Amino acid sequence: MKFGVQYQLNVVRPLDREQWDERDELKIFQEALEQIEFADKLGFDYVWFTEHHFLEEYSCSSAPEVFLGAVSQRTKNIRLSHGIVHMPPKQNHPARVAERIATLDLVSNGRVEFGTGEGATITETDGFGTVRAEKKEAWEEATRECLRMMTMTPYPGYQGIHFSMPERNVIPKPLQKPHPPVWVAASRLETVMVGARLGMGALGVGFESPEEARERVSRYYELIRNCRPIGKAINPALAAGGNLMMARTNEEAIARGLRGAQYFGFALAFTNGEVHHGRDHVHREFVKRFGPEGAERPNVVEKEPEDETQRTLFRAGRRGNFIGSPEFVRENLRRFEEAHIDIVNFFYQMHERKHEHIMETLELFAKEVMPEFKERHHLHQKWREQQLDGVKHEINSSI
Amino acid sequence: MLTPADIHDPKFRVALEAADKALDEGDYATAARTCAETYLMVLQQHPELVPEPAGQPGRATGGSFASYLASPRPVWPRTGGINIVVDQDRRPGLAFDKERFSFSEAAGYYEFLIGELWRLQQQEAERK
Repeated sequence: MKFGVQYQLNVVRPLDREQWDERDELKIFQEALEQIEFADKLGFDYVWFTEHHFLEEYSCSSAPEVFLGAVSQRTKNIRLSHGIVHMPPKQNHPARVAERIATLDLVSNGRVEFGTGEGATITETDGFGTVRAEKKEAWEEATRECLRMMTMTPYPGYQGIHFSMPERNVIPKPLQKPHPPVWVAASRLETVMVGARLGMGALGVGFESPEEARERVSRYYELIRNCRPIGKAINPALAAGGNLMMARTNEEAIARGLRGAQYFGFALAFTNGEVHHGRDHVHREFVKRFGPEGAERPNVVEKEPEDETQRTLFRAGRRGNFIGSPEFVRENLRRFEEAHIDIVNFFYQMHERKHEHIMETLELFAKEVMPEFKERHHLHQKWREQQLDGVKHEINSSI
Repeated sequence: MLTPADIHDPKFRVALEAADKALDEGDYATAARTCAETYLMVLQQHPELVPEPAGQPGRATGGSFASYLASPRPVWPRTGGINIVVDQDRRPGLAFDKERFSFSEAAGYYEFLIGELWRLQQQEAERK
């Protein structure tokens, strides 16, 4: 099993001000660069950057290709991963995506993971004029054509539903051939399976439990064996995710990390509701709901919803599997390993979590949790070989 | 591997087979429509799964994300162009935002449907 770190670049408004100070975003961005450089040295395998637009106090990661470009020059081995690129052409023209992916692949010596998605919130899709009922279709069309642009000389052109373009040679081409490993963001089970049918890795963003992950794995590998690839190579891979904060004891980790998780879940739900751009103060709304730091938790619904999307939001604000001591985190990761998940990705930068706590978490994880999983990864790779035995499609996967 | 043959109820099995065939043949509109109409039958058989009445036409579960969050039941995928709508008497129906469907939309509906039918079948078996 491999491990990644994941960033939204969450920048809360200070409680005593209506807007951010000019240095608030700078601090988070520079600390993130330092954290990722450290994660690379410690042996984390992936860094994922989301793409979000206009989601104030949830994510400032509106230009992940720029950030990953900076990361490429401060790291040596960590895979530079889009989690994800918004593919509807009104948000990102597929030719521009192909150019940026290839350029990042070249400046990083072939370390890109090409994660794709539709874009989730109405705030974002409406902001660019993408019609909600068509965004999945737009994602599929744009991703397919983008991958063709990376592999064809010249690209013959296309007359499509969501974009058209004449014949052109889209350059540069990526270093990884035929193209970088391709993924789809998948918070729901059916999207994981659509990914399998298209030969794509499924980037889990739904805080699935190990038991839910196990359920996905078997059907995913059954489907990908008979897939109709969206690109020229398939990427059989399943990633799960969770909120990470570690300390020597569970109590200390919860004290350092739970409030950030509560804020994360709150802000995620907030961004999906009615927003007042430039005028909401999400941080103050959070404090109204959850009380000031150290307050008793309010009376909130404890029963998990059955629907997966609702469950994602429910779980986003909880302690989950990875806020705790090394023993706690290790035990839960073993369950994901038994379920044959390929990658577990961790969020940790959110709310007012301290940079030094994040750095301590990364170090504690790398020294006391990661090693046993790295040692056993070859067993997982043997298991994967058995699942993929006889698959006729070319495989390009970093697992 | 989960296939239509694993679903015992013949009307649902036949519908899944038809949707699966349509997917294979590239007729994504038929596949999507078949899945939606079949899910409507599921809701009629399992009224406990029916979402709360919509506040706006064409919107599933109450019209707002907050009410969507409040519904405890598995919810039909919200993107893809077909919506489950519920009148004030909690009778479910379908609202189509479009007539054209892509592979990923139709396959998404198919995977949701077969997963739900399997889950309900397992629950029924556990009750017996």
